[in-house]
Amino acid sequence: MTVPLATAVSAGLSELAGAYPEHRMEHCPDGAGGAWVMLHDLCLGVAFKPSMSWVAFPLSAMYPRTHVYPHFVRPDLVRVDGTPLATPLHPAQQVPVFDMPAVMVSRSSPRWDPARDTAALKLQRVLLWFQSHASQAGAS
Amino acid sequence: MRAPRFIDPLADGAARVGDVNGEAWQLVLPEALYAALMAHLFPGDDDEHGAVVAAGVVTTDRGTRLLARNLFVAEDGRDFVASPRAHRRLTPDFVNRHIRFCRDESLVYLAIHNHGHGDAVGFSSIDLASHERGYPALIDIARGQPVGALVFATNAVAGDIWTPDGQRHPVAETVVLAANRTLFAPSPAASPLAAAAIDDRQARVFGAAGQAVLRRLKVGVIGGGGVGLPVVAQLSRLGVGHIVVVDPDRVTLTNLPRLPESTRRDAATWLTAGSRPEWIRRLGGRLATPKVRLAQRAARRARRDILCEGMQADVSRIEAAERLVDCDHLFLAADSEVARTVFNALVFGFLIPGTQIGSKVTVDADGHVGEIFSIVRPVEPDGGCLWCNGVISPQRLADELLPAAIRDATRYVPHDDAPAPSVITLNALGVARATHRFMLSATGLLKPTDTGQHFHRSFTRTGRQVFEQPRTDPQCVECGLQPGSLRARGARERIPRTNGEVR
Repeated sequence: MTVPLATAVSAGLSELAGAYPEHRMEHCPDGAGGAWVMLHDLCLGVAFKPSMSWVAFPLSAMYPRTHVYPHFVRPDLVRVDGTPLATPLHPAQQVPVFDMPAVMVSRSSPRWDPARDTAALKLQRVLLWFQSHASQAGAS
Repeated sequence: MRAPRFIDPLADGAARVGDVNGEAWQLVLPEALYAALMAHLFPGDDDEHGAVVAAGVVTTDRGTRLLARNLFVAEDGRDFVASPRAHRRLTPDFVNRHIRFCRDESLVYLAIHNHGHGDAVGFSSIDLASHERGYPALIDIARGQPVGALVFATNAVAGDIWTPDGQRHPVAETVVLAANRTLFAPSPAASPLAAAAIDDRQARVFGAAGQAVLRRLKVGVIGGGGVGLPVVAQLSRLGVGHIVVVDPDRVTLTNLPRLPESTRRDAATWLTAGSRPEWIRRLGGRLATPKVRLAQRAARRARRDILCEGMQADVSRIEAAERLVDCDHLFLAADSEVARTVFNALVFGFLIPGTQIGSKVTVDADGHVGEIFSIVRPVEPDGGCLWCNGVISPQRLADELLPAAIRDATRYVPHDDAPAPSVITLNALGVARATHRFMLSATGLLKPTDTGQHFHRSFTRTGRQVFEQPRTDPQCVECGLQPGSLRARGARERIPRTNGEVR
């Protein structure tokens, strides 16, 4: 049985579109009230190449009560310094629903607060992590 | 995905008890709001005072329920003044501010004043005339929300509710969600007949009146397994008139040691044995008894004159949650984050007192057993919610909501997939504590020293008892009162939901 998009999920999509107006955004309902989202041409910073990527992630049916993760980026992502990708980056994964190969980014938010945290803020934190990431050591 | 099954009560002509006429309205007041209101209305001066309450509303086949959310006291001499037509009245400015608040928040505007002491109260002809003068205009301002009035005596409440369709509805019953569930009506109810012979022993505990109260209650049980099934059995034998049990699963072999009343036939063990071919085991799984059917069987064996509904679905299916919005109490006997999320939203969104029952056996990597404890968490509208107290993990909730194939592939949350250790004697501890407290509260037997919402954790290997005072975050989007919060809105559209395919 397919459940229509939850009201909060629709609101989350609108907020994302508003936060990233210059970036093409797609979404695909998961049939359970949530949706998988993909934003294109986001900057991952100089430590990685290619430095621009799409980013995909789920808005579950119970968003914003749920933590938004994991995130996925392009599958050919490598480090500029040649060191292997390590946690929280997991290569050779598959983006659900969009059915594309990807590198998974597992950045948890243990203090997620549904009153304050949003998918747009979480995406911003993930991008900041990429852009400020200078070495593999201690990455988590 | 199969649609949820609504399993009809086992047919024996059992009468539906506890139903309220579709026209009856009920008012629900959280204890803190009631106490503040009564302190304002009856400060000891034997005079008249006024206030406004903003309330959510929910309508089901049991009737319409007003859910008190916000209290605005009217200051004597400024907001509540002498009137040529009445003893006193709310000023136009006070009315205007609060009817607009209610309009903007999609809440019901309830104007309140008090009469004297006593067990009966009603509107005077002057009161009713003022309603007829003013409420049609208030209905227009309220844009589709009902408006109304309540009048309080010290032990009675009456109400006159106007709806946009031109009808007027009395408030037949007011429920105060105190430690002891307290009922008020416009006039004293007739004394119940003596308890039936079957109830003789327990009626000596809480009286025929207490038995009558239990008969009129509707109680929801989320989870019909090792904790939920005994809860249903106890509620049935107590004589709770209407029980709704929600569980998606069927009985399996490993459930049998923890499900009283279950049999190997219920688990279809002759088909599901490991030696059978896979297709036969799958068939056996589909033929096994749904857990809700087992619960209904237990209820029917207890009493034939109560109603036990079964919803074979995850509680996150909206069809299941909808059956719970008008309950008088909810038991959470399932341990998923999704179930906790829905339960929490129902408790605070619809002002339904609840009790979470859990147990845990910790086992280390070497198989050594550590702590064994049961926990009972009263979750009540004036107390802290499961979110405020960290009982729901947003991370684990996200994990449960990922489709199975994705969850298996990604393993984002470190999680041991082995079944959790569980034993019937441990489950029984939590069930007994929770249902006994429910009985005391419903029948007015809780003593002041026993009141208060404490989370009670019982460590069974040492006997240590831990009572934890729950915390409340006023900014919580579920239990707090900040604008837009879920609390007391009766907003069905805000019940968390999925298509039922959860872990």
